[in-house]
Amino acid sequence: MSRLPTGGSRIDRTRPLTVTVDGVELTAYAGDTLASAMLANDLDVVGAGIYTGRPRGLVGIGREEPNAWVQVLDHGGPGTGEPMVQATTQPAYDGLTVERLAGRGRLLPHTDETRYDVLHLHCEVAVVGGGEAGVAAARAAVAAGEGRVIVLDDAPTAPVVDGARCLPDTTVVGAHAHGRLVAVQRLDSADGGGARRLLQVQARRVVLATGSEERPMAFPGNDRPGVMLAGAAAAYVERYGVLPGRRAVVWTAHDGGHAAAAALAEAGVDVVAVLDVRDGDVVTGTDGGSDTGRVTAVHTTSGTVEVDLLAVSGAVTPETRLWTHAGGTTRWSDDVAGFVPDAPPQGGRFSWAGTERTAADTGGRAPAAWFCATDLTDEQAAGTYLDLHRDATLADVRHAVEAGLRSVEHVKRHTTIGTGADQGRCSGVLAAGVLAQLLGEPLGRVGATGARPPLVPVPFGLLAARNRGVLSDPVRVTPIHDRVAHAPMEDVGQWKRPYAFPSVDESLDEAVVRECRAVRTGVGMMDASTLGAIHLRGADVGVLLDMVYTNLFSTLAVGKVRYGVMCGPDGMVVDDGTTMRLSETDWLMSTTTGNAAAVLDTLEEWLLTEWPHLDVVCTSQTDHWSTVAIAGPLSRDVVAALAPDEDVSAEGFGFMTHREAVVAGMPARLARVSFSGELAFEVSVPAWYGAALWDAVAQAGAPHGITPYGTETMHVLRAEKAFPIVGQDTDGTVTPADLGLGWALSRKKTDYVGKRSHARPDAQRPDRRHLVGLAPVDGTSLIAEGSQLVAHGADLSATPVPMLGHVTSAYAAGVEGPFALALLDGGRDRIGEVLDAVDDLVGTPVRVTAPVSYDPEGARRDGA
Amino acid sequence: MLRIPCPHCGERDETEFHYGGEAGVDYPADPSALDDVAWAEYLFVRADPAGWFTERWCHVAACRQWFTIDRHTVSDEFRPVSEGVRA
Repeated sequence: MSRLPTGGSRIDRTRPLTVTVDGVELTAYAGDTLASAMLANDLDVVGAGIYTGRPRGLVGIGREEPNAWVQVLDHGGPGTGEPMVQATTQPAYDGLTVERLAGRGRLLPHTDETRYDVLHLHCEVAVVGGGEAGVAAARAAVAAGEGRVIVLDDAPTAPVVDGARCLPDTTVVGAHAHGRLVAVQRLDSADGGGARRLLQVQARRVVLATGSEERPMAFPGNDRPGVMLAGAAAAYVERYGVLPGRRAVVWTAHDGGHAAAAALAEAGVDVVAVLDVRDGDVVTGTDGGSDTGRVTAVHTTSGTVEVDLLAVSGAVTPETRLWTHAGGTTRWSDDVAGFVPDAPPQGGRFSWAGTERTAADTGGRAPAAWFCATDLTDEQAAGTYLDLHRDATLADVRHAVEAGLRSVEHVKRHTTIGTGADQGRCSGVLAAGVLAQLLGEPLGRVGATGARPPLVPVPFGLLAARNRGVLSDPVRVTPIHDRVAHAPMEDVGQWKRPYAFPSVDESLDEAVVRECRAVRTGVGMMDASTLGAIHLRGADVGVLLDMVYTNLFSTLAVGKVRYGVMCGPDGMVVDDGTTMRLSETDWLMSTTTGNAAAVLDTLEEWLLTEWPHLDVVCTSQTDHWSTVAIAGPLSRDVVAALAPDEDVSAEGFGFMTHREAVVAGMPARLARVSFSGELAFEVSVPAWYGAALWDAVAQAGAPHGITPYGTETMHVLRAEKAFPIVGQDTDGTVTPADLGLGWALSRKKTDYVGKRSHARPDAQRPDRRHLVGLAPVDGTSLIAEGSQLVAHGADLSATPVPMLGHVTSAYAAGVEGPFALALLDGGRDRIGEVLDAVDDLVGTPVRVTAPVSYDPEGARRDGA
Repeated sequence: MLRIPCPHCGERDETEFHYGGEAGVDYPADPSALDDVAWAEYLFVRADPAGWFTERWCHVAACRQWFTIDRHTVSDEFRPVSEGVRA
């Protein structure tokens, strides 16, 4: 044991605990990190090189640690665990179970059940860092009466600042525009569990008091266990009462290394030499033991000493990563021998608070910007590690320079130095310094590599926080949902819609066949409440609709319904649906289920930005109405029973008309529209009557065998009529003419949105992709949605295989068996041709047909 | 996360807004009078400066109004629309 009998400012010796590393139980105290527990239990090897597999020991004490990566197997609860955690930042708690890693973790094989939460904090001043500079900044902000002041500190105990809220165990991982910080707060760190909270902090002003970090110097054999940062070695004594070694050499390039040496000596380490590069002393190599490879001897320019600890300190420089996240720049400082904050992030929300002292401040010697010896042989260079986490060496940087790379960012990507999960804290400046040496350029010109969020690894589960599973997206259901909730559901946008209504002894496909037959030969009913409904009111609605729909609407009479196709200015289809005129000034537009919000946005954008003179007000009414579609040759009988006062005959209630009526005692709107080609009605009632309407339709239809049907049946029925579904049969590259809807393009109107684009030569090409039908040549094979269409018999191994089109919709249960809709190059000129529909490298021969495969004359819409 | 100053509601989170791209691109008075090049210019060609940019936003999650504002595309600072630029 290397635990001292006393001392350790962060541990509580009255609370012993046990952690398990690779099956071995280690004793520790509350307040320990996993790393200090490893060190206290003389675990020399904390990891292995990612490529070399060489044993590696602890180097640092915080997030600069390159070697001690562990896989957390159990965070203290079922379903917990974490792929890649730094032992130096992981609190030790009873039951923590980990495996050491060779630089790379494994994704969890199960859902991460760790408790994650999110909290939004708003404040006037956010101070990042609870050290001397942070506390001073927070006190100044409070004293100035700036308002709410928050201090975010990643230490387990936060400072106390009267008038400010201080959050311990909180690591800011990203600093973004306009004073937004993203932070990770560890919950219950002393008592275990991986529970964490994501903090979204919005501040008027951010003070970055992120302190400094220590960097090493490089030399041959520097990857042995027992080679540590000097400041970290001393801090293990102070914080945790753990001796990092018994007999040590300290090698430094700045005065701080001497202070660390003194602290180690005071704790009882036999410090046999303190070497300073400023005096010409350089470490030239190490020897190691045959078991763990731990350092046993250090070779220096002034001789060889036998030790078990080599404490190294290159310099201490500001941690500027958050500064650069927010857009601040850094510059090289000879005084500090590091990169220091320069221009602040633009916008004035971020400032830097540091207590860095230069040699001039302390009356000491200036630090040396020393990185590694310049006269190393190739063999020595291959054993001089610049990035221990990435197993990259001086030889790799030499190779990059020989290959012609000059930019520090290019060398980073070529060597992977600084790309690891430790963000290159021990390696970034070393690599830049070495590059400057090799290029013979000043470090200020070579520069530092950029840093990007997150500052430390963050579990994806934490970013999602509570927005997981059923809470990942809002769920919308109609007022009729209770009546259909027993059916398997399909997600349509955020809506849950019944896919089909299989009976207990029926498959889904069988149910769809039965439901289709009911609509084609009898009568079916469907909840159609999810279609978007937008109420339009004003004197100029007709003018607006004439612009946003390709066909003419201003002439529509009150009581009539018209189908319209909506395009973007680029001429591509964006939506379709029917619109009814309720009065001279009131209209009701229906949109595709998934498009309701987007269409409303589009209408309002035109009205607000281009045609503010038009008298039109748009109101979303999607949730205001419950609608039941009653479809099939017997639907008239059902509606007659529901609304006995209405004349629902073909003559008395024409196709594409609507009226207000009393239906089963409820105020309702009745419309004769059809999405199946069959005689059909839609009944709409105020939303809260939805379930009552559903029950009434079911009851009135019972004598006729009315059959509830779902979305898949609706899709089969509409596909047989080649009614396109925008977003399924279209993809933003499809014009109305491509869909066979050229009849809907007004030639009378001087303009509509998209008209000019429809006149472009490209929109007129005869070989554009047209919507066509497909039928399997053998009459029975299923066609897969998304299949690519290629020439029949095309050699699929002779890439590239010319693609002729793709399948947009495919169904097993058409009147004539399986069929599909597809977009096909020059499709309308290929009807009758045989092609292959290729799915997963298997081609199914298909015959190109006209898109409408059922009742092409439209004879059935008035009833059989 | 940008904080966007809506002229009607005040400064709000970016997630409440839709972006509308470059401001001042009017729908042509008579599209049929434009040749294909001019029409393509209207449809597709937009400025993309590294610096101040006059652009449109819609506060969809609140007042639903469109407005025009200057944003510095490098620093993300906002300022009122500069003199002489049509809102």
